[in-house]
Amino acid sequence: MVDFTEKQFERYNRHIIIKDFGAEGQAKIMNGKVLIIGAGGLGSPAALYLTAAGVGTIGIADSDTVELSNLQRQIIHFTDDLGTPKATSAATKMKALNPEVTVKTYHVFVKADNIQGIIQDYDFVIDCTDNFAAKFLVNDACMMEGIPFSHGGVLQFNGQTMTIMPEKSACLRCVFEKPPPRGAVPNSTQVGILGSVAGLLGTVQASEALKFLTGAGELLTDSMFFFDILTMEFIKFKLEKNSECGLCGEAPTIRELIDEKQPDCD
Amino acid sequence: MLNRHPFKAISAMSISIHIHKTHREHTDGAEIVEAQGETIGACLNDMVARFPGMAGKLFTASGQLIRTIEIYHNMKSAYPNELARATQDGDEIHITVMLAGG
Repeated sequence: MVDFTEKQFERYNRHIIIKDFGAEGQAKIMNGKVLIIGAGGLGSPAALYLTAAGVGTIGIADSDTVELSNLQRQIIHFTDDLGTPKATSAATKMKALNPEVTVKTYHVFVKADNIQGIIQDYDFVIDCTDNFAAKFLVNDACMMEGIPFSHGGVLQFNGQTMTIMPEKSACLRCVFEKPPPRGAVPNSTQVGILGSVAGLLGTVQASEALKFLTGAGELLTDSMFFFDILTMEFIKFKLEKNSECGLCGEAPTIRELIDEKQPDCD
Repeated sequence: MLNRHPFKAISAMSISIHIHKTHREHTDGAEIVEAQGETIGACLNDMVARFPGMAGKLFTASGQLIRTIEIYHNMKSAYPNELARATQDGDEIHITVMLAGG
């Protein structure tokens, strides 16, 4: 039996009336703790949807401040926020959207010597970072701490995402040995990103967090989901845990967190 | 029934390589390139022979697959040892590129 206040029942009514989700599902969301690393193109929609859904505690980590070039896609930040720390800017909107949610901000550069202290209090982590080194760091830290997480990346008209359940499903290093050399892949600063593409992928990542918290449906584990918004191709490839994975394989070689240095292009 | 053209069947082997959008400028715009070969590596080499511009997009100077390239074989990740994996007539190869934007 779940006791909602009258206002909660009204606010979350469209969740509560979903068959096989219901009040129990909403209660699980309200007891959940999700950390979003990166308050940019992916983090913006993820933070807004999780806040609207009523996730009990949401952490938002980002060391940057809001710049004018962010506003074309980072929809949680407004023009008046220019120069404001992104974590603070995001938290302000989240509290305005849903005052019931506890928002924790981390205005820090997430790196090897602080990430474990940040992620350890959360049930699920969403990787919304914007570089390969950070994505591998999030992967390694979550795997070592045993925290499920969503990996995501976007560029131009394309997005890709996978969900990782430590010890149960393939991790990022099962598919990619290590970060590519610097400059091997262009970034959004160089070749651009359609704002709505980030919105779509961040929303998929938020959905994975909600599915994890409630147990609804099937997570995007052992799968890599790709889309191309220009052709509207949506593809889900199959992945498997890699016995040779340096992190979670039979003979792991990665035993501690490091800040990956991306070498120059090979 | 005796197959009078046993090698013809092999030469007719065709593997469909789905080209990532960012690479299509090197395949004359083709989204799918038909290739032949008994391994993924052979198929990619067959494609590169016709579309030399793809070489630098897929391989390092030493001939190894560039780390950001993802190869999926019949909708399943081919990593690791992608290039050595055996192919059969009708197989599909997808080439995708790892994305880091956020």
